[in-house]
This record gives sequence, C-alpha cells and structure tokens, in this order.
Amino acid sequence: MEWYSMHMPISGVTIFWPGLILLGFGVGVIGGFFGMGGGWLVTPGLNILGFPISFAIGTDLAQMSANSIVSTMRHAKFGNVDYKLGTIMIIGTLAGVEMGARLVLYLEMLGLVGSVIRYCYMVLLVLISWTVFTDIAKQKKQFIVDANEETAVGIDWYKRLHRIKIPPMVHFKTAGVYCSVWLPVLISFLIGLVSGTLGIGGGLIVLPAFIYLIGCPTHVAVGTSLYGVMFSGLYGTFTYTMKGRTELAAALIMILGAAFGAQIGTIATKYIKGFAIKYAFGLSVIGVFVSIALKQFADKFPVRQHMLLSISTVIIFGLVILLCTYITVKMIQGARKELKEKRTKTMTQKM
Amino acid sequence: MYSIYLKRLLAALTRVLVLLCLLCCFPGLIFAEEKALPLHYTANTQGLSGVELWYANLYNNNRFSCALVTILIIPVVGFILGSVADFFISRTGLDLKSRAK
Repeated sequence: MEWYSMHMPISGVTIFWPGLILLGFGVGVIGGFFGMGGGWLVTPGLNILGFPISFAIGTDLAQMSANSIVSTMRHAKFGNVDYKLGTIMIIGTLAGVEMGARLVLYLEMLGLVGSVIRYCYMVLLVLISWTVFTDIAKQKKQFIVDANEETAVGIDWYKRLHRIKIPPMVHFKTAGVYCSVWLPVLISFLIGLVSGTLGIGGGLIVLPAFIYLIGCPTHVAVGTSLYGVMFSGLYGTFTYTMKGRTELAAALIMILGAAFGAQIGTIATKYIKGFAIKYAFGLSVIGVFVSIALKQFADKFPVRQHMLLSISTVIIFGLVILLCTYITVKMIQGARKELKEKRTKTMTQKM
Repeated sequence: MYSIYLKRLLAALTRVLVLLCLLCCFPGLIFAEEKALPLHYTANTQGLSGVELWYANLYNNNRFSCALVTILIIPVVGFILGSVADFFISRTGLDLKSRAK
C-alpha cells in the first residue's frame, strides 16, 4: 500500500488520508467562518473520497460533534447561547435525527440511498441558495435607503410565525424572542429529520432556520445552533454507530485538520464582514449543488462516469481550496494589520 | 392588501414549479442505481492489529459498547486538539475575546 493510502478498519475501504486532513481543515475554516458544522461539504466530500454514503454521513456526524463542542465552549463565554431555546430544540432534533437515520437504512436496503439523498440534497441546496440571494437582494434594497449595512433587514418570515399563538407561549431571554413553544419544537423536528437523513446538522439549515423562522440575532443563532449541533451530532454518532455506519479512524484524522482550521475561520469573522460573507456562502452552496448533480449523472451514465466524477471531485475540492484561501488570506491580512496597530499604539504610549 | 399576498404566493409557487420542472427534466437524477449494503454490516478484521483490531472486534461483537466508546472518544479528542490549537493561536498576540476590530 502507498504511503498516502490508508485502510479503514470498519468500512474496509482504502482512503487517500491527506484528503481527509485537507477536508477536515477546510471544513474547520469554512465551518468556523460561517458558524456551522460543515456537513454539507463533508458528506459529499467523504463520498467522493470513496466512503459509501451511509458511512460518509455517520463519519461526518462524528467529526461535526467534536467541532461543535469546542466552538460552543467559546460562544458560551461570549454569552451567545440561549440554553432554553437550545434545549427545546434538542428534544425535537433528536426525534427527527432518529427518524432520518431509520429512513436512510430503509433506503439503503432498497439500494436507493445514494440517489435519493443526493436528490434531496440538491433540492435543499437550491432552496437555501435561493433564500440567501433573496435575502441579500432585500437587504441591499434597504441598504440603498438606509445606507447602513448593519441595520438593513433581509427576510423576516419569523414575524408571521410569531403571530401563531398556540399555548404554551415561551420567552427566550437571550434570543429576545416570544413565541409558541410549538414553533421551535416543529422546526427542530424538521431540522433533525433533514440532519439524520442527509448528515448535515450545522449552519446550513439550523442557522437560516434560527434567523429566518425563529427571529434570533445572528450571533445568538450561531452560538445556540452550535449548542444544539453538539447534542444532535453526538446522538447522531451514537445511533449511526449502533447501526454500524461510523468510521472512527476517518473522523479522528479529520478532527486533526479541523481543530486548526476552525481557529482560522473563527478569527477571520473579525476581519470579513457584510455582504461578502453571504455571497461566499451562497456561491459555495451552488458549487456543492453542481458537484452532487455531476456525481448523480455519473452513476446513471457509466460511459462518461470517470470524466464526470473527476469534474465533481475538482469542483468540491476546488471550492474548499478557494474558500479556504480567501478566508485564510483575509485573516492573515487582518491579523497583520491588527498587530501593526497594536505595535504602533504601544510605541506611542512609550513615547 | 390580499392581492399583494396573492401575487407573492403566485411568485413563490412559480419558482417552486420551475425548480421541480428543472429537476424532473433529469429523471436520471432520481433513479441512479447503486450497490445495496447489508443492514447488519460486519467489519473484516483480517490484517488488523492493535487498537484497530480491538475497535473492529468491539464493533462486531458489542455494538452498544462500540457506540459508547465512540461518543466518548470524539469529544475528548476534539477538546484536546481544540485546546492545543487554541494555545498556539493565542501566542500570536491577537485579541481573541472580542469580534470588534
């Protein structure tokens, strides 16, 4: 076996392990930057690296829970976690994750799991990118009127949902939200179902749901989302391992890259602000969509399979490299500027 | 007032319809064939040694213990590696406690 190949003890597949570190690092940078677990990149990424789709989901959930534990600890120190909202969300999410995992096993028995999951992924990705770009357009319209990027409001579906007053009503102090308890329960169940089925549980669905459907401020949404992901990720890991679909060795290799990547991504949020974040997020979602569509075509057309799979791999890893480079460069530039200002300030004080 | 909501509803429905039409144009996206995996999967322990062999045996013989070990290892490793990375980054002299520049 070559030095760059590694045999996975459970799934039995041979994997290009530097690809796992790169994917882990990339998902750490991107996840830390957007405030999410990064499963939307990891599941297709692991699948492209050679894992069967159900193993890709289980492994993804395992590395995601490790990342969210570290991030939640840091967010808790900032006071960004609404524990009441987070705990209510956990109950609904766990029920949804369990149903999602059972659905995956049923589809696997039919031999349809890959195609159905990829199909659902594509619909979800299109809907998310549409929501993000609609939000940007709406915010930009208001930005032209207000000339203030920070106060410009985008999509506000939560205002209509807050009018549904089915008892018991509950006040989430940190998030500043007063609504029916059934709203977060129902939303979290749907999030759990999608999370368990597609192997995503981070910001891709939780963050937009918290912001657009519940009405949380962005920083509280990020912290509370990670608090929820921590539990749903661990539960997801447990239930997927019970069903025999987690590759611990791969998850541990990925955490090695992700632990350092997450630091860069989190610090970069200090220096990159405004519409650039949303544009980057929307474009990356489109990139993932194209890559998965190509993979699906490859399964259907064996003659062109090699070419389509190669293009799909190039797109998914190209996307990770591009976003990582952009975020890392911006982080280094910002950090250098901050350190330079600090030095100048110290020198002025000495003088 | 209601006509505005109706217009928005129609616009949203049109978008969903366009999306569905686009996806239905490619039936291959829905029904691609793939190899089915058995429901009760068993790890092949041939050629494994040390920790890998121990974990693979645990996976094959006691799935509940294997799941417990996994959800214990993952957060512990995540916490340790995260703390190590945090230690190195905090040496750079950057302000890591506030997001304001």
